[in-house]
Amino acid sequence: MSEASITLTCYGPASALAGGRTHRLRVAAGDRVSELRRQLAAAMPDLAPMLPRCAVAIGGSIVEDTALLRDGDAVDLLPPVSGG
Amino acid sequence: MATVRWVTDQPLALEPLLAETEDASCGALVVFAGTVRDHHEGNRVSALTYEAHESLAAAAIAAIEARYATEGLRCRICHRTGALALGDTAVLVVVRAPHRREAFAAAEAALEAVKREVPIWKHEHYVAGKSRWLDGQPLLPIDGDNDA
Repeated sequence: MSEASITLTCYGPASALAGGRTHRLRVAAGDRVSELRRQLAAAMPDLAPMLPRCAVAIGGSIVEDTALLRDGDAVDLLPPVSGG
Repeated sequence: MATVRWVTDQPLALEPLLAETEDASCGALVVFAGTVRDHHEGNRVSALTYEAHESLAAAAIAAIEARYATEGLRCRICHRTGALALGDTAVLVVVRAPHRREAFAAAEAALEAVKREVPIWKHEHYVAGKSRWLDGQPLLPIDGDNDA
């Protein structure tokens, strides 16, 4: 199966839990956001408890877990928000 | 999109928001300023840092403004990012309405929406030396086309 390369940017508290703000990741072609969540939970155990409450944006738009990942995607991980 | 209209790392200025919302049909003006408090949940706070996803935060704030700028109301919101000291203004909400009740209600609802919907994160620094990110509200996916 071919692979896709994505860039993950972790915002707010997710950055320290993921061990850094940006990560280059390889996913399988055809993977969806839900698969990325599983991959992150396995690779980043400190981040895992927060992951179900994080939103995911691709290319600057928040997406559902069914969204497909494509080669070169800029994926943003957005933890629960605390502005104001 | 000039995100600085909604999110900025510079001190917030009230005057431009007042000027942008001027409307002779409005007889009520409500200004809310959220400022950095010196305590939280029993801890003495020394400073705050706010981080934003700038483009998404700007779009979310613009959408909130549009929601509360109906039926003769005007609404402008700006949120600060970066390092803030005690007393600094973190967020400004300006609402003008024909009458006071809808102005108060819209200002409060707009602020609550900011806390729920805008990708901004608060990092508290304590006098005792530690710091922590505050927990908050999970963002929900936006249905349909949100590129507009």
